[in-house]
Amino acid sequence: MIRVILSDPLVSIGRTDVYLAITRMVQGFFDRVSARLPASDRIQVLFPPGGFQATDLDIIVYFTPTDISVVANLTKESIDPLTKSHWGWTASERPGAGASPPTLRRASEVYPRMIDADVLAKLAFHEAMHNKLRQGQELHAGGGLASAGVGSDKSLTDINVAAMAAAMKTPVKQYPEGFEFLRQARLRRDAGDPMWNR
Amino acid sequence: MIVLPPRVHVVATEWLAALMEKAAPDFVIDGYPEYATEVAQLDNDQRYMLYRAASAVVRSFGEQTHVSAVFIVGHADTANKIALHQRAGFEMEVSVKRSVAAAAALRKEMNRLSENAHFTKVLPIRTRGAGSSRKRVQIANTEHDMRKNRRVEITFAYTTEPSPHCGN
Repeated sequence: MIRVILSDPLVSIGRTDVYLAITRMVQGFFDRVSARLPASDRIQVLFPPGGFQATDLDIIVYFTPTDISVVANLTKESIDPLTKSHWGWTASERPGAGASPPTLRRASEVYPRMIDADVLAKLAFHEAMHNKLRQGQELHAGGGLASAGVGSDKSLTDINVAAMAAAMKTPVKQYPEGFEFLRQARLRRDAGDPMWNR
Repeated sequence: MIVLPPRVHVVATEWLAALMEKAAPDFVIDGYPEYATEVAQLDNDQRYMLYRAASAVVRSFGEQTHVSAVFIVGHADTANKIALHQRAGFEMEVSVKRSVAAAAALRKEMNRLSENAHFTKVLPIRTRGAGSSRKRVQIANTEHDMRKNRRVEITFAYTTEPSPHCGN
């Protein structure tokens, strides 16, 4: 079983019906990918309310407010939210001495700038593509849900499905620690700490 | 409608407050009993108005243009029972308390409606008291007219998000 884990520790979405709708839509996308894999390689999409464990075959996509970034936390980049307008981002940690791309952890996130299940589900699949295919901007040439602009007018294409199906059994080290990073930020925010996202 | 560039409310609080104070309010909640400051002391119709304001904020986050800041001004009627030399200060205090209490009630209702979504916890809500300086009924002789003056005005500022796109 390969799992696609969607996680929103800071409750950037909120409404239960939207979580359910996103899960259902992303599962629908991955069902098309599953159909190209052996029967034993079913892909399950889940949105656990709490913590989780992940293998290198799983994909984690975090939903976070724009005020804070799991990806920046992993890559140690400083982000100024005032200058950013994008809705999603995926990156690998910076290589240390002797580290090669397959051993570098990778993190994906979607910013719910608008609580629209359709758009957020498509963005989640898009970032999952960046994650699993280990591609940056070059992914966007693939069209469909691989496009840079992932609005409600975009759809999953057979090319997108084939690309993901070919990569699903390739291990990509994930960043499950992002959950605790966001959970701690939530505790600070709820305690009234104005620096909760630092 | 006030539409702001993304996140300008974070860096321009006073400028925003001045801008929003001049705008027509999106919601007016009036009918406070004399010197009352809590939303719970209002009748059902006025409490429903607060619910509508909270609902409008939460619903807006389903759109690309959504509420990005809320400005609440509290108002008082002339406090005839208070000595003249203390009156202005007392009226200001009542109006400030009304704005602060309405902000707390609005935040609580937004949290409930959004199922505790992050955006309702961090949405800036600025409050201000105007004393009795801006009465709706200048010469209020009836309880009905006085209650028109005892009110809070809620104004929204909006931000339009960019079209969905990836940052890679």
